Amino acid sequence: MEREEEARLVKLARRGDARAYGQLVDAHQSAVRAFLRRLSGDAADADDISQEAFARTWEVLRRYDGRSSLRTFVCGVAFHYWRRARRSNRRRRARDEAYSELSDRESQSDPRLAQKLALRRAMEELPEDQRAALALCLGQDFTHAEAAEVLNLPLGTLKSHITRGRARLRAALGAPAETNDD
Amino acid sequence: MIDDREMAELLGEAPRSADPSFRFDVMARMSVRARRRASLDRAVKQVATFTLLGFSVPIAQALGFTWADAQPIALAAGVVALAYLVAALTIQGPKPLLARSRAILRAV
Repeated sequence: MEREEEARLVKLARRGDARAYGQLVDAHQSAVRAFLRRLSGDAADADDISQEAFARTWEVLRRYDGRSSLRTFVCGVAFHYWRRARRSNRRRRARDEAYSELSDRESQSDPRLAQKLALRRAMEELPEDQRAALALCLGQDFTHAEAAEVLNLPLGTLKSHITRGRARLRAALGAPAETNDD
Repeated sequence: MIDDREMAELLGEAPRSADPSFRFDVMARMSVRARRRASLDRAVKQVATFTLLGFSVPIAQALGFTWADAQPIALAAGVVALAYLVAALTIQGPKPLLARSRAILRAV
């Protein structure tokens, strides 16, 4: 979506135009949902948090200053919700362990599934910020500057999170680690 | 050699296109949150009003007002409240008020 068109729709949405906001949801849902799917590893949970983040963004749209894309702002809200849900959801760990055991058996017949599980396990072990940085930047959906804004981190810290995180993921897949960044 | 994009796809695939049902769900959540916020605002206003009313009696007593002193003020306040009620009923009609009373009685 063009910046001018987005600014126009944001202006309308701020005045209470839900249809304009619906268009913004359509334009940015893919990026926000992908970010949360990579972050949480569960599509249903990710979509649930994404919806809550979009609903919250509608309420706080006045705080959005328009300097970056709206999706950056929504992802910031979504990251906050994910962190809160993660801390409060005690059942998640039990479900993950059960899933992991089940998947161990399935992974023997599907090499791609084995890679997915290895990556998911490696992601689970990463610190929250590092994990979120990878979820934002690996698919090249977000630039480093945008990701730094979403996570409220200095650019240098974000880049180092990505380098270290990427190395951990590559190690989990058995690939040699790269030395250069970007 | 697996690249970043492949790793991202393995971690979670991005939806190929905008899903209209996702937008509808967002809209539904927006209206639920708005309703919840409105009812919270209403509750806060009611609690504040009745607290203020409740505090007015001891404050008046502390200021040295006796019931005999306060009687004309209370009478005037009662008349104003009644006038407000009549005005509200005239403007809105009795239906919302009756519906509200019925809802409260049903809840009790």
